[in-house]
Amino acid sequence: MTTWLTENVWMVPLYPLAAFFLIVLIRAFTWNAEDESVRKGTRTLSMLLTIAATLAGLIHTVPLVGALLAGTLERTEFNYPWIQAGAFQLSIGYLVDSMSVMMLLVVTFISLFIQIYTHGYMKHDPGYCKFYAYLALFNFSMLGLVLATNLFQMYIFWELVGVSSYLLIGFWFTKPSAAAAAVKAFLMNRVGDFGLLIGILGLLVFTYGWWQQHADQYVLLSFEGIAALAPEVGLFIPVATLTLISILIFMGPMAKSAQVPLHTWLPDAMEGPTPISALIHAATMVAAGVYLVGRVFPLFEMSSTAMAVIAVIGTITAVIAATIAIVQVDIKKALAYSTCSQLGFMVAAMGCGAFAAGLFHLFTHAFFKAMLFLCSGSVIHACEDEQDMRKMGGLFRKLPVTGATYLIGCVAISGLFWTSGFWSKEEILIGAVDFSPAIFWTLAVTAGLTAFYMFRSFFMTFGGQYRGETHVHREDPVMWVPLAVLAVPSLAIGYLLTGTDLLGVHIPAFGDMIVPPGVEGGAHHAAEHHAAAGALSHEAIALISMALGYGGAVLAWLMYAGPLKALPERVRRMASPLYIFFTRKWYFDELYGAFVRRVYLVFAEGSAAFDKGIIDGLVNFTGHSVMGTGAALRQLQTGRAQTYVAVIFFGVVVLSLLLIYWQL
Amino acid sequence: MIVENLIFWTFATLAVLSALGVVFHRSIIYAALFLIVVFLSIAGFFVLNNADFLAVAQLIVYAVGLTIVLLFGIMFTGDRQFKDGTTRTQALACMVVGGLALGLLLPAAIYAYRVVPTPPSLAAILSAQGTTELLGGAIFTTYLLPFEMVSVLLLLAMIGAIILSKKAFAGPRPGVKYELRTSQLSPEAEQAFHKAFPEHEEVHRDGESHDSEKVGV
Amino acid sequence: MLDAIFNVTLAHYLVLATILFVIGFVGVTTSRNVIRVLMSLELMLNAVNINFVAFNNHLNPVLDNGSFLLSGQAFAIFILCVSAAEAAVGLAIVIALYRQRATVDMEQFNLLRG
Repeated sequence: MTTWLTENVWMVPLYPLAAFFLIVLIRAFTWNAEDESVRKGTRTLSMLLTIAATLAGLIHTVPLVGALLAGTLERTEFNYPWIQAGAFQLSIGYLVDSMSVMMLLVVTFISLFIQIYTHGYMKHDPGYCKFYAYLALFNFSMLGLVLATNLFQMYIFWELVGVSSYLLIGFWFTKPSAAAAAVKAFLMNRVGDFGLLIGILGLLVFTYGWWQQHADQYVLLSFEGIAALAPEVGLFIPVATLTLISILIFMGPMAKSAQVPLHTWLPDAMEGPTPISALIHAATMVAAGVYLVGRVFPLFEMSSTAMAVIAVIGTITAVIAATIAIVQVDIKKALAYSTCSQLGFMVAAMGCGAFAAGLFHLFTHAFFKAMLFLCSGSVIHACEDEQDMRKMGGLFRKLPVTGATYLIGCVAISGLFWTSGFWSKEEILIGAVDFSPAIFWTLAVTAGLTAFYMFRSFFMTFGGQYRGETHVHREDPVMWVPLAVLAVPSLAIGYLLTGTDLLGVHIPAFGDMIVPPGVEGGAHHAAEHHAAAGALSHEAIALISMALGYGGAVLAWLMYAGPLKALPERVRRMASPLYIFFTRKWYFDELYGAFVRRVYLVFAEGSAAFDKGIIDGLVNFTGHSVMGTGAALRQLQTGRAQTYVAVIFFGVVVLSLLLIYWQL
Repeated sequence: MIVENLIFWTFATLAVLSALGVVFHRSIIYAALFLIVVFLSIAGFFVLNNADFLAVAQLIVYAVGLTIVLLFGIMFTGDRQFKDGTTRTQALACMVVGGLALGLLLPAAIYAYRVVPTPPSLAAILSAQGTTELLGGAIFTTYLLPFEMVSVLLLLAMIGAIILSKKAFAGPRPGVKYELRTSQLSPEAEQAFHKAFPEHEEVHRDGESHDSEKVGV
Repeated sequence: MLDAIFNVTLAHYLVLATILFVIGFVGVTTSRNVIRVLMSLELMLNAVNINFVAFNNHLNPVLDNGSFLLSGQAFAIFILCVSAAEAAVGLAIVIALYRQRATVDMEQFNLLRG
């Protein structure tokens, strides 16, 4: 059974693809139907198709997860030749291993509940069917990305995911801000993808000989091959070049996972419908960057500089995003910056060499961040599209399930004891302390900030008195049930994956299941733990992170719900420049704007002038000279026989003279 | 010898001046008459070069036959509107074309000074014998094939000239009723006509004038 | 010197023929009357005939077996025939043209102009 499922895992992405095409087909016939029942039927059918496709994917995945937990999952890879040009061959295929199964579970599970939730959220939207079609398309792309066997295939699905994201951010494209946000996301990702593509090609250029030698073993640029190549990569590429290639490849994740300085698109992406923010821009797609880093991890490990750069960028992202999140008043923006910050944690973990920790955090974060976004969507829906937290408050009584699940999400993301976020964040901090104390302390303090801004948003939204004017609607079961379901893994999944027994079944620790490619079962994990003994003990680290987390939470309670309510205003006045600096998002957008205006546009205008003046000038000159020559030669064509006679005569005479005198 | 030289110079002057008259005289009739003078002087050069048969042929064919044909041509195409004057640009074109052609060709002609000619030994024999017999021998032996081709050419030219200058008949046009003036036909021809065009029943024996186009058969 | 110019040689005939030829050529290329163009053409052909006959006379025409070679004169006869044919067809064309355009002005015959 498991073998069959493994070998036919290619069906998982094809379910949503089929759903997408079916919806498009159905819509093609009914888009202008007058009959109300036909339109309603189309809507219901698109919803059911998408949800059924995702459910089928989840059902397909669950036995594989079972096999993974039982330790019987066989690493399986199938490749089909795709493009063949002489000895050069690109392949497309699917790869089943612990990492891809984990991601399959995350994507299908979260997608399923978000799609159910979507029915409640988008009920009255005219683009209901289109939305479900896009969701299905996104699911196909994301699942294809997860199952990719090589960098080229991943790049293709990487772009497909980007397109889906673009379509969904700009879903309400009649709203100028949404259209602009979609374009911004797309352009930012292009910057990253550009680097990624050059990195892939650079790697190929240097190591093509190796791939040719091992053509019968590894498919070109396959992740397995990269893992096998990594130890001897120094023979082909100088270290400095390897670092450059690694950083270029890392530019892809940098854009997709919203790392500084390519992070500015993610908060703007919140212009899309909230289910999209939850699914794509919190739980799955943005994690694809971390996933890619995990896939090419062995290569990155060969360059310590590249690893350091990745760690530092991750840490900086975590700090910057956290500081901006503190001052946000838009509930979705706050969550977006929190996502950004958490992605920073994951990337920093990867950079520090804590491979499993980064992916573990990806895994747990996906659940609670999806849930948090869905909560925010529920709140926004209830308050009639109000997103400003200053106009909320006291919503706990009106939205009890939302409030409770939001609180659970806050606890989890803050890493308070026993919740899933606690375990994964602790793993990251353990990895960081081995790598560099500076990064460790920065991340620890950022974890405290995380607790502060998350509880701040909780208290502003649910605590105190209602400050808005609009009537607050009740929760819809179709919306709160997914919240409740997602709350369970948010709380428990972290603990479960630390090596526990559940109902008599042993569940192995996450770090034992997910190991970097090329490392045999668990050896890496053990080495990691061994090295940790030198610095701080695990207990100390846990204590520090917990103390900071609780501290942040309590401070937030004091300032936004407790006795120190006047404090935020005073702090704002005292640290006014810093406050403005944070609210302006560290002036990244202004910086890019200035760059575009001062450098890029000037360069572009110069290029345009060069094009118009010199290139076009040359082209036009060619045309004009031909026309001039033609105009001059046309004078010879008088149409009068006498002219032709004269020309023929002189031609013959001159030729004869040449023949006679010069014996030509 | 000196007489021959004098004759040459006289004819040469006459030929060049008349040739200029052919090209530049305002009246086309005068030009044709000048052309006769050129042909005559050229016949003189032929005599000087022991080509008496050619000289006579020149007189018959060119000076008489061709000129008459040309005069007929002039008569057929009398264009009252056309003024054949020499404009300034035309004069310039004449000078340029003429100068260029002379400049290119004269050196080649003067180059013949370096050819040492054999003294004309033909004269004595030819004056006794005449060239006609010799020329006939050459044409009917060595140049038989060109001679036959020329005869075909002349036939073709004759047919071509007739066809070209005849009024064009594009064949019967639809919608036009043709009338046969049978009064011009012999009874046999009329019978043959009705055999060839059985649908053509209406025959006007009296030859009354009608508006429809008339065609002679 | 004057004597050399006065005494007629082959070169004299050639120069004379060239002059007549060029006059004819000028007439062909510059005159506007079609009939005059045809006349000038005859002039050119006659200039060529002078050349043939003069060459035939001045280069030794006696063969080894004592007979005479009159190729030049024979060619002149052919040219005579060809020019007669040319004049007949040419005039026929002129008349056909005149029917179409009612003019003999060469400048009106410019259908070849693109």
